[in-house]
Amino acid sequence: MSFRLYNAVPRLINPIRRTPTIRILSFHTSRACAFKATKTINDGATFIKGSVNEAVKLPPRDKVAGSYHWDFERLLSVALVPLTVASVVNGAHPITDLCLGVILPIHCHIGFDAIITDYLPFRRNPIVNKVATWGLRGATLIVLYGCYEFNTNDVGLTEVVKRVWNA
Amino acid sequence: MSFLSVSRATTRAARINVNANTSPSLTKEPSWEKDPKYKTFSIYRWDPDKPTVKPRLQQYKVDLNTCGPMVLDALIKIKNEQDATLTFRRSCREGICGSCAMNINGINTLACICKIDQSETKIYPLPHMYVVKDLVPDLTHFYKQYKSIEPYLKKKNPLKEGDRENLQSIADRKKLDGLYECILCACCSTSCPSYWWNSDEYLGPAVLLQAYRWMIDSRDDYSHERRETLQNPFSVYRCHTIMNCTRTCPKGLNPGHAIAMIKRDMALD
Ligand code: SF4
Ligand code: SF4
Ligand code: FES
Repeated sequence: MSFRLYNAVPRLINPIRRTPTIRILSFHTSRACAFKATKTINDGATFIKGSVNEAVKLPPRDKVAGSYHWDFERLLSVALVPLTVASVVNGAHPITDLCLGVILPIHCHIGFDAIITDYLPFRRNPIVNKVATWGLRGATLIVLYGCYEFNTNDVGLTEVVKRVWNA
Repeated sequence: MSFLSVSRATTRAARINVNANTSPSLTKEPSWEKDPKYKTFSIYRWDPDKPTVKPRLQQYKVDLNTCGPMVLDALIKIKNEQDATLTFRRSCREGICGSCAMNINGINTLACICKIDQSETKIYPLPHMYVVKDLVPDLTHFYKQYKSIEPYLKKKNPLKEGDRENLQSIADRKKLDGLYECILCACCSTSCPSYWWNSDEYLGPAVLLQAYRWMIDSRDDYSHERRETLQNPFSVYRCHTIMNCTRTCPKGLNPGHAIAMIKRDMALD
């Protein structure tokens, strides 16, 4: 290693080395390996996007899918508590049955939808994601209709739970 | 050195005397070193220079009586005495730099503050991360996520010359306790199932804890804007309060709670 005189002058007052230079080779070897082993966008793979010093880009702002969605989800969950209690204590009543027949399917829908977002996200499985999402929507609509029919033309949700429970 | 040889000599003399007395209970020479107490460490190995060779667990036997008390001591001893190719990160050896985060017996923790126990120990790199080599995970993406939350003080009115420093009441300062101690070791994020599945978009507990740390700093003027940038289904809301993060944090912090507070504030915004 040759000794260079300008290296001895402190960097900030040194005209040659004013800007700090970072050379990859001066890093520990594992650092150099990081570029080799990790897939970056330049390798044609997708894990790390952009340069190592860029911040990741957050998804676009969408308050409806963000906090409103969360608020709605909590609202339904909270609403289910008195409804369930009322049904258990008072037994079947057309109004609680009707509410349960609407809120329960939507509550389940949001839960299943979260599973799809977690495990089959669009950016990883675009086709499966679409199929699952629309399948779920279809299923929820059918269940909603089924609950309505059941509540109006049959014994109603609370009553059927009671019968199954006592069976 | 001289002390040692003198005392060796005296023991030998003592032994001869004892032998003369033929007392069986005293014939044993007092040993200067304790008997070696071996323990096996199974350590994850993968070498980027041989990408076709599959990762494997390699066994190392370490004498606990000549080793420090923590897992990091054992790793350093192995690297010094048995296998110089064993690769891991460490710096402070006292739980303050966050370099030595790894998965020890199934729990993400800092090797330097994790006591060696008597049973067999398995050591893996932090789970579900790209591995650079052996126990070194690639944290590039994690740091890029950290950068995205702008982890620094932001003011609406930039300081002018002659301004005082940003003062903070004792009560406001107290709000940062339990947050500022985070060393960004990534133990929590890499223990979070949601982060495993969606780490490209979900920020993960460590980064969200830091995000919250800046949201509630009384000196920061961008609390609301910081929350607004997280308004999407992925950055925060992939957290389902599984609480692996809080269970594993080697600094005893509670990222799960910080995320819950972010969600609460976002709901009230
Ligand atoms: S919260 Fe705890 S586990 Fe997570 S990065 Fe900070 S110190 Fe590490
Ligand atoms: S509480 Fe949230 S961040 Fe923590 S482990 Fe669970 S899902 Fe992950
Ligand atoms: S070596 Fe610094 S935290 Fe373990």
